[in-house]
Amino acid sequence: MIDKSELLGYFLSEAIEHINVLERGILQLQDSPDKGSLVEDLFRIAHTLKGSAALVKLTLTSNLAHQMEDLLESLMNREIELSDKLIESLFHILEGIKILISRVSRGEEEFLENERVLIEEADEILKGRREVVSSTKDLVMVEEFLSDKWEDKETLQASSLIGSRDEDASRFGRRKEDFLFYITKYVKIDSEKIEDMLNLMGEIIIKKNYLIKRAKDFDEIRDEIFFTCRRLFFEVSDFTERYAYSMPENIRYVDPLLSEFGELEFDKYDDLNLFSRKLQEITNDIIESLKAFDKFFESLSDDLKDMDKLIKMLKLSVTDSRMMEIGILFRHFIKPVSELAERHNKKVEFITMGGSLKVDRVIFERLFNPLMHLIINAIVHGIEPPDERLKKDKKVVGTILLSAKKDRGFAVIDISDDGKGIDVDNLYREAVRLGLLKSEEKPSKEQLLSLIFLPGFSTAETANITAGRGIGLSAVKEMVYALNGFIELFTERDVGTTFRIKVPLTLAIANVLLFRCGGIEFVVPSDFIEEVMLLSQPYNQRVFEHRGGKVELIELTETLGINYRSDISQKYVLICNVYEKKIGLIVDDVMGQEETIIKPMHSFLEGLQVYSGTTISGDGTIRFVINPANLIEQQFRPLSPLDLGIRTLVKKNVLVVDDSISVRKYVSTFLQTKNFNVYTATNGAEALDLIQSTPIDMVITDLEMPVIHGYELIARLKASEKYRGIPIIVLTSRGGKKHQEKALELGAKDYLIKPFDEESLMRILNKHFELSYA
Amino acid sequence: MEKEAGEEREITYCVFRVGEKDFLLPASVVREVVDIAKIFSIPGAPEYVYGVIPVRGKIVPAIDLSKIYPIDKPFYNDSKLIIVDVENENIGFLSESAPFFLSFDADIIVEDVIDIRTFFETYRIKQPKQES
Repeated sequence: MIDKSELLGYFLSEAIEHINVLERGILQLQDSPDKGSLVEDLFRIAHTLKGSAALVKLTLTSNLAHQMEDLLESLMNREIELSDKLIESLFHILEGIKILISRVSRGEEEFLENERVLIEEADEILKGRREVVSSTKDLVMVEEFLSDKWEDKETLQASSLIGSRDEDASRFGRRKEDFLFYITKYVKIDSEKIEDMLNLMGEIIIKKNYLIKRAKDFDEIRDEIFFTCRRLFFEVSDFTERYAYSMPENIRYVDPLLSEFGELEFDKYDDLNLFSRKLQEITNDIIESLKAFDKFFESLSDDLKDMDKLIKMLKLSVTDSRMMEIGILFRHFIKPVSELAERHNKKVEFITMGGSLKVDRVIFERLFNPLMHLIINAIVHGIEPPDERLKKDKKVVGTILLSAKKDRGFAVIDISDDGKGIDVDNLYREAVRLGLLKSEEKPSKEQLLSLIFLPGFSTAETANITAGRGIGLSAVKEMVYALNGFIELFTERDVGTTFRIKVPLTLAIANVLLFRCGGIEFVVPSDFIEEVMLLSQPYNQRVFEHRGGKVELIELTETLGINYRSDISQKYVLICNVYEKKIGLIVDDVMGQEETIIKPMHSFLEGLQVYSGTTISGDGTIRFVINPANLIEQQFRPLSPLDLGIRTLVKKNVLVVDDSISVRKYVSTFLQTKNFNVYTATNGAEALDLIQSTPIDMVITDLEMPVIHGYELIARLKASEKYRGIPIIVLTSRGGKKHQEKALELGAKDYLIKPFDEESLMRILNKHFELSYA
Repeated sequence: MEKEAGEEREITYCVFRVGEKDFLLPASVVREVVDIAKIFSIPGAPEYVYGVIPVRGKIVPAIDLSKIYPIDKPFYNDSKLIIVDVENENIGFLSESAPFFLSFDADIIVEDVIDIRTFFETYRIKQPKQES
C-alpha cells in the first residue's frame, strides 16, 4: 500500500492546482457570464476535488467541494441563474476549502468554524432553483457575518495589515492568508528539470572525480619536490660545513695585511665562504616555503574530501527526488489484467506485493512495456482455462503475482503464474527444427529455456504474442538489458512460471568499475561485481571452482573480437553475479571504481548489443559499458567476426630512441596526437631494456647516441629471433648516402633526415603499419 | 511553371576529400568541423566506424568512407571530422583535410552528394541477423 502521508502530499499539491483553476474560473464567470464550457470545466474540477478529498479522508473539504459541485451543476443545467449571490457563495466555499487545505498542510486538524454557514448559504441558493433571487440585503448579511465571525487569528492579523478591508480585497484573495496558502510542503516540478539537475549532478561528480585524481597526481609531484629538496639540503649543509667559514690555511695567502693575525684572531671570508652562506640561506628559505606549501596542500585535500562528502549527499537527495514507488506502476496493470482474462475466458486473481519499493522514474517508465508483455504472456499462455484447471485438481481461479523487492542496488521484480509452465520438450523440438541444436545434443533445461529469448524463436507458447499483440520475449530481454538489468525464468510443468527481472534502482548516476582489456578501457556497473581476483597462473579450463560454486570464465578480448597480443602475465578476473550462476571476466587490468553517468548507446551504434551504454570521464575518455548478462548471451551465440566485419583499432606502441630531449618530446607529442602509445629511451641500451618489458610495434631511432648507438641497436634487434619483426625507422641529422645505406643494410625500414616534416613521418608510419599487419 | 527572374536559388555544399575522392554534404546538415584529438575504438564495430570521439560532452561516431566506397588508402594525416545533424543525433565523417563550401544553382544535379538520412539508415549498426 502507498504510504498515507505521501498520498496526502500528492493530494495537497493536486488540490492547490484545482483551487487555483477554480479561483481564476469563478472570476472569469463573473466577467463573462455566458460561458457554458467554463461552467462545465469548473464543475468537473469541483467533482475531482470532492473525490480525491474523500479518498484521503478530508471529509469537510470533500463536503464543501460537493456543495460547490452542486451549485455549478445547477448552473450548468440552467436550474439557477448566474447571480452575484451565487458567485459570492462560490468564493466563500473556495475560501473555506483554502483554509482547510492550508491547515492540513501545516499538519493541523481539518477544521473550519463556519462550515455550516457556508453549506447553508449554498443550500439557500439551491433552494431557489428556477427562481431568480438577487437580494442585496442577503449579500450584506453574509458580508457582515464574514467580517464578524469568520475570522481566525490569521485573518484578523491580515485584515489589520490591510487596514480598510474592502470587499474586493477579501474576495479576490489579497490577504495574508491567501499568500500563506501557497507556501506548502509540496511543489510540482517538471520532470525534465529534475532530469537536467541529475545530468548536471553527474557532470559535477565526473569533474570532481577528475579533480581528486589530479590532486593525487599533484601529491606525487609534491613528494618528488620534497625528496629533491632534501637532497639539496643535505648537499648544501655538507658544503657549507666545509666552506662557510674561512679555512685557516687559506688565510695566510689572502691578505698580507692580516698575516700578523693568528687563525683564530680574525675571521676572514672569501667569495666561496660568502657563496656557501648565501646558498644555505636560500635553501633554508626554500625549505620554509615548502613547509607552508605542504600545510596549504594538506588543508586543500581536506577541503576536497569535505566537498566530496557534500556532493555525495547532494547526489543522494537529488536522485531520491526522481524515485517513484513501483506500486504506482503495478496498479496500471489491474484493469488490463481483468479485461484480458475476461476476453480469454480465464479466471485470474491479480496480486501485487512490495509496491513501496522506490525506483528511478526512468526505470519506472521503461519497465511498463516489458512487464505488460510478461503479464499478457502469463494470462494467455500460463493460466489454463477453468475446466482444464479443474481437471488438474487446481484452484479454478489462477493467480498472477507481481512482486518487487530490493537486492543491493537492484530492484528484483517477479511475475509469477500458477499455470501450466513452459514445455521444455517442446522447446527442444523447436530448437532442433530451427537447426539451433543437433538432435543428438542433450542441453540442460537452463540452456533450453534461454532459447526463448532468441529473436525469431517461437513455439506454440510464444507465437501468438509475437504475431500481433505483444513485443516478443527477445524484445523484452533487450529492453531489460538496455536498463543494465537482466532477466531469467524458472518454470515447472503444471506448477507455474516465474520471470524475474533485475534492474538497477537508479540509472542516472551509477557506480562503475573501470578496467582495461586489449588496450581499451571499459566499465562495468559495480553492482554486478562480487569480487576481483588476480589470475596469476595460466588457466586452460573454462570453468573453475570458487567458494563452493562454479565460475564460468569468459575471455573478454575473445568475446569482443579484440585482436591483441598482450604479454601481460598477471591478469584479473572480475567475478560477476548474474542470474544464479557466476561468470568470471578475464581482463588485463583493473583501474578502480568511480561514479559516473551512463548514457544510452548512440542510436547509430545501438546494434552493438555487448554494450549497454557509454561514459565520458573528466578528461574526455570514452568508455563503453559492458553488461555481464549480455556476455553470457554472447557466449551462447558468439559474435562472428566475419559477420560483423570486426576490425579493431588498437593503439600501436612506438618507441622513440634519441639522446636529445627536444627530439624525443617533439616526436612523442606528435605521435600521441596521432593516437600512438609512445615510449622513449635516451640510448640503445635503454631501448633494448624497454623492449624486453613492453610490447613494441615500431622503433624510431637516432644514429649517434651514447652507450649503444643506433647501428648497434638495429643490429641487435635484427639478430634477435623475438624482435626481428619490429620495423625500425632511422631519424637522424646525418644525410649522407653512406650513413643511409649502412642503416638500410642492417635492416632499417626507412630513413628520415632531420629536420623532418610531420607529413613524411606520418606517411612512413602508415606504410609500415599497413605492411606489418597485412 | 513561370519563373521570375532573380528567383534562382542556390544550394551550398560542404566538400571534403577521402582518398582521391570528393564527397559532398548539404551545408544545411553540417553542424561543425572539428580537429580530431583523441579517437576511441569500438571493438565489435564494423570497419567503417573508425571510432568515437567526445564532442562537448557528447559521443560522436567517426565514419571512414574509404571502408564503404572503393577508395585508395586514404591519407588521414591532418584529419578533420565533419559533424552532421541527423535523426536528433550527431555523426561525423572523417576528412583528409579541412573541407570547403561551394554553392550550385538549385536546378543543377550535383553528384556524390551523401543523403544523410539514407546513409544513417543504411549504415546504422543493426542487431545481429536472426538465425534461420
